[in-house]
Amino acid sequence: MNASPDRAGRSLTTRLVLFGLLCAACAAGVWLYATRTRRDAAAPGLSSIRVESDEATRDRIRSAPHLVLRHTNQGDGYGRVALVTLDDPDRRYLSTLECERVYYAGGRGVCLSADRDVLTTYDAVIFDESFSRLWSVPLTGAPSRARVSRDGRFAAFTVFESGHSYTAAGLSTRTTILDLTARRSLGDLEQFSVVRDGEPFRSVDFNFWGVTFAPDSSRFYATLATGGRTLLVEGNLESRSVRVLREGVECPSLSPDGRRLVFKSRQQRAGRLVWQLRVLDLESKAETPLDGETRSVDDQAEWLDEEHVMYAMSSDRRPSTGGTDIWTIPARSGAAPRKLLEQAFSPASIR
Amino acid sequence: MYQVERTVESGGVRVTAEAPARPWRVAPNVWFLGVTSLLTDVSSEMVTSVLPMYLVVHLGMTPLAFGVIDGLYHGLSSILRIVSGFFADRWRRYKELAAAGYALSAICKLGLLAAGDRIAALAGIVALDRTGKGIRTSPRDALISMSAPKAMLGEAFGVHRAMDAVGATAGPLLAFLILARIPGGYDAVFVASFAFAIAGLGALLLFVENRPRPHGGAADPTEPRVRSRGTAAADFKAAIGDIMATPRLRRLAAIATVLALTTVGDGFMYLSLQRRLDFGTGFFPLLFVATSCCYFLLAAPAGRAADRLGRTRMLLGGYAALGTAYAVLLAPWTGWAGVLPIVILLGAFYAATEGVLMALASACVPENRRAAGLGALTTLTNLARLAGSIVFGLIWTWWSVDAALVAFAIALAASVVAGAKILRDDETTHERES
Repeated sequence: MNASPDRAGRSLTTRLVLFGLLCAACAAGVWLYATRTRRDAAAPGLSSIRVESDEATRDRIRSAPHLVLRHTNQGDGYGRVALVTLDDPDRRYLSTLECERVYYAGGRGVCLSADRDVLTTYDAVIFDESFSRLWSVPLTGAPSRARVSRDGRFAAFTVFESGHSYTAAGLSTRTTILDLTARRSLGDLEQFSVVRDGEPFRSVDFNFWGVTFAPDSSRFYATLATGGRTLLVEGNLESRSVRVLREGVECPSLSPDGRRLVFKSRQQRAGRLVWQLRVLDLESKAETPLDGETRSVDDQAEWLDEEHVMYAMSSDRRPSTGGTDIWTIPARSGAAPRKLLEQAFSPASIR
Repeated sequence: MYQVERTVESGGVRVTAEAPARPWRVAPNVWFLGVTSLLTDVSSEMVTSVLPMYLVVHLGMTPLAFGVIDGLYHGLSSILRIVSGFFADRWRRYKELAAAGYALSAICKLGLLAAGDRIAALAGIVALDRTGKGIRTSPRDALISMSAPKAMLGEAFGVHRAMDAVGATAGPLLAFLILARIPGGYDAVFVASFAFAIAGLGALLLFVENRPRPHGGAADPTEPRVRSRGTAAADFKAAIGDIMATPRLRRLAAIATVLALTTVGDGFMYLSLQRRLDFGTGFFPLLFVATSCCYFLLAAPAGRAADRLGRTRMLLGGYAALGTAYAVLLAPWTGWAGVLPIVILLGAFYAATEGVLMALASACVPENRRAAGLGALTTLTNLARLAGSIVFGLIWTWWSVDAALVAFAIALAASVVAGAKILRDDETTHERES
């Protein structure tokens, strides 16, 4: 082989050796990074979180108001369902269930789990109060939102599906409701009839997401996106229908008293797209921005109690390692948010 | 005839002693460009395959925000190919421009880490990454086409595309393996992707030669030494003029564009299969992997066969395979047994068309507008494919999948017949000339 003019004097062997060294250096770099970040993310500052898996801890936490959540601390049970009380936030009971998103109410939980193999598949696993799997249904896409009605009779979840729009990588959503007592699916919300201003409403571009159940569990609220707009709908499980209520509402979440919705609202702020949490009074239709939080909040919020909502934010430390924290904010204008729990995601408040 | 051309070539003085003994007589430059593309594709497909999940599931972005980024991802690279090809021709610096593109994309992999969850930063980095791809593609294809004698262009592109497909198959598998080992370890995926990109860049810089000689022979004496032709803007206009003034290239581009318009993307093929069989969309990656496995197994043999039997015949045969896949999809009895034939037909389609089209074009681009010409052709076919899939999506939405498939099958058959008429004349004239 002739030496090229720009590499004059360097034989093929020399170049092969150089290339081998380069590849070795790359491999070593990746290995070092992977091992070091895992250690870092699991280590200092967060070591105050203690995880326990004994039944005594579980029962003690359960005896008081507590949260069911997804633990996101790298290194010790990342992704597992955990229990924690706010009186003792550093001690967590870790179950053996691993979920991407979880919700729990009325003695039943739904765990959207991932089976990460060469091919990643997802399931919705229904579990009981001892975290035992009861049954499951396969999901058609990556998990997004999950809710269980207060009496534990129904569950709803949203997944993202790819390949349903014009560009191959486009995403659409599918929201399914399960009857947990009868152990069957009530189908996906796109099969429900939709009414707007008293008229039937149909379009091929319907996407539903973010269900929240009313206290009586036969009604629910959700988001319907169509034509670039996001609509708040109120649904009825018996009549399998939904009714459009208003515009500009995403991921609603009903307060414990059933009279207010916290939702995310899309805003333009200095040319950037951000989501702000707002509270809608269902009776007076008054909207209150939770403007004490200036960051973009992209989560289906959960009510901690009648006065506070909570939501997840990427952890300030390295968002790409999967750490998330749970923040809380009073449900009124002008109040400041505060960090409630570190390394946690997808909370459900058990009062 | 190609057969005759081949014998003359190998009987000539250019061929080194060990060449006839080797079954695959592909120039070192092509192999090393293949290695570069393999490593780079591992790198870029690792990121592409996890990006939707990273943005939407992990960072919790809504599909709308994802759509914005995705649009940027796809829209940007096309037009750049002509511009970077033009400068590569003008400065005769193919390797350098390709290297700049590879380097830019490599840096972007680290940028993904640094951007965290800031959507504007992420969108910018994804766009830059695409820019890198736009810059590197035409100079690289020009280098391949310069590294093989005319009679063996199909083989050279076939080997390159096969290696490219290996990388594109291995990338997503590797990414999902990393995520399986390290849950939520997207940062580890980005770092590994960066490492592969650097190795690919290293292979290019260390081994690929800017003025390649097929089979180590003397530099092509016909290589034009045009350095400067006035201002870049005037020269660019002249380049477009030169490309348009080549009748064979013009006809080839017209036929390739029409054929691309009638091509249904894999995504839609899998989707209509999924509607029929009702499996989860989670299986899509598996279908993609199976298709690209067929592609890489068939690409090199198809390129080699194209050199012997006629490249036009191979190109149109590839589209006939695609048409057969439409027919299998449409057949009322198609069930699970239809999956394998469809995957094989799609793989054969890519193998018989991707590299072969480049080989056909390489044989007729103006010598001093090589990279720009190849870039213009791929830009046209890419835009045509995008337009085709939008039309397909619209027909699907307003009528039905079957209506869309029937319409595309008819259009495809008509284009293949027209292509056979127009291009066959070209090939025979060309053979008589040579």
